[in-house]
Amino acid sequence: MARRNGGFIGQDGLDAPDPPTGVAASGVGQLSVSFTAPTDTGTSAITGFRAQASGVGTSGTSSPLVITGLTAGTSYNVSVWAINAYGYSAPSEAISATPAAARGLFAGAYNGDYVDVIDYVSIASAGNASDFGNLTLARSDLAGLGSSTRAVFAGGED
Amino acid sequence: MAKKNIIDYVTVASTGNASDFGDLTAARNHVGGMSNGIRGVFAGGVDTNGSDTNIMDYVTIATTGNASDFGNLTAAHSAQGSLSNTIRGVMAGGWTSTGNGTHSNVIQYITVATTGNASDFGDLTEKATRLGGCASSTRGVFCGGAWGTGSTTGNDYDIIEYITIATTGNSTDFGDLSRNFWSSGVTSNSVTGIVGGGYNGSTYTNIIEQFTIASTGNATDFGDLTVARGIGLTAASNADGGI
Repeated sequence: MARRNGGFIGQDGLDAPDPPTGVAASGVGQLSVSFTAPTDTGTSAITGFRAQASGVGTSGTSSPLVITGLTAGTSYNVSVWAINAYGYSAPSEAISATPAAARGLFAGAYNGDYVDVIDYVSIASAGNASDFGNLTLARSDLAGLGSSTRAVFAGGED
Repeated sequence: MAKKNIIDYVTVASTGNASDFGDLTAARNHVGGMSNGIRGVFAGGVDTNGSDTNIMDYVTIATTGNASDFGNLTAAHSAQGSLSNTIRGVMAGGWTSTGNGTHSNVIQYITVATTGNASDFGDLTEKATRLGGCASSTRGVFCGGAWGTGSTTGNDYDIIEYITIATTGNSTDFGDLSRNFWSSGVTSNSVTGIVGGGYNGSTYTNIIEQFTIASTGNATDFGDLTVARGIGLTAASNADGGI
C-alpha cells in the first residue's frame, strides 16, 4: 500500500494512523503490552489498537493491552497497530518479549517449631521445591498474596 | 504464642530473604490474603485478645508501608480460605467465634480495587477451616482444609470445591486431594493449582499436589516441599490475581 502523512492509505484512499511507538511487553504467563499512541492519527480519530505476539492478539482502546494464551518461556515478536475509521496503521517496530513462568512460594508454618523457610516451585513444571530464602521472622498462620513481581506475607504467630 | 503485625515481602523472580514491608493495622494470625495484582488485602484473623476479627486492611504491593483500613467482613472470621482474580477477592469458611469454636460455610467477597465492606457470596457445601484458595481469571478453588458437618470440628480433609468468581453462588464439588492433611498452602499460576504441606493431627507432610483449575477431578502428585510442615503454611505466586 502507498503511504501518505506517514500512515497507510486504505483502498478507499483515506489515511490510517501512524504506528504506535515505544512498545514494551512483559508479564507472567501473559504479556502486558504498553505503547505510545501516534500523534498523527490520519484523517480520522483513533478508534482502537491491536497488539499481537507472533499471531496471538488482542484489541483495545488504550495502553496497555494484555495478550493471554501465551506459553511461558517462549519468545514472541510483539507489534502494535493503531486503528481509525479508515483502517490499520503500519505495525509498530517489532520487539521480542518472553512471558515469565509463574512461581509458587510456600512460606512459614509450624512443624514442631516455627519455620521461617520460603521455598518455591515453577508451577507449570511438576517437581520438588527449591530453597528461596527466609521470612524476616519464623512464624505460622500468616497470609500470603502476590503480584507479577512480589509476594507479600503478613501477620502470623510465633 | 504472640500475634504479629509483620508484613514482609520478596521479589518472586529472584531468590533471597524477605524484607520488611510495613505493619498490619492490628496484630493477628489466621489472616486471609487476596490480591488483584496491584492491591493486597488482608482479611480477618484472631487478634491479640484471642478474638476473631472482621478487620480488612490493604497495601499497595509495589510500594512499602503500613496497611490501611479497607472495610469489614460480614462477620468476624479467621482461618478462612481466600482467593482472588483481578476484580474480586473471595473468602470462605473459617472460624466465627473465639477459641476456634465454630466452623463456618460462609463465602463472602470484596472488590479488591474499591475499599468497602464484604458482601455475602454463597455457601460452601460443608463447614471448613484452615483451608486455602487459588484462582484462574474466572474460577476459584478451595481446598487443603478441615471440612465437616459438625459445629466444632472438621473431619474431612481431602475435599476440593470450586466457585465461579463473577457470580455469587454456592460452591460445587471439584474432586479430591490424595491425602488427608489440613492447613496446607494453596496457590496457582491461574491454570494449575498447587497444594503443599499440611498436618493431620500427628504428622506434617511435604507433599505438593496439583490440579487443573478449569477442569474438575482429583489432584495428582506434583513434588515435595524442602521441609515438611503444615500448621499455618501459606502460599503465594506471581500469578496471584488470577491473571
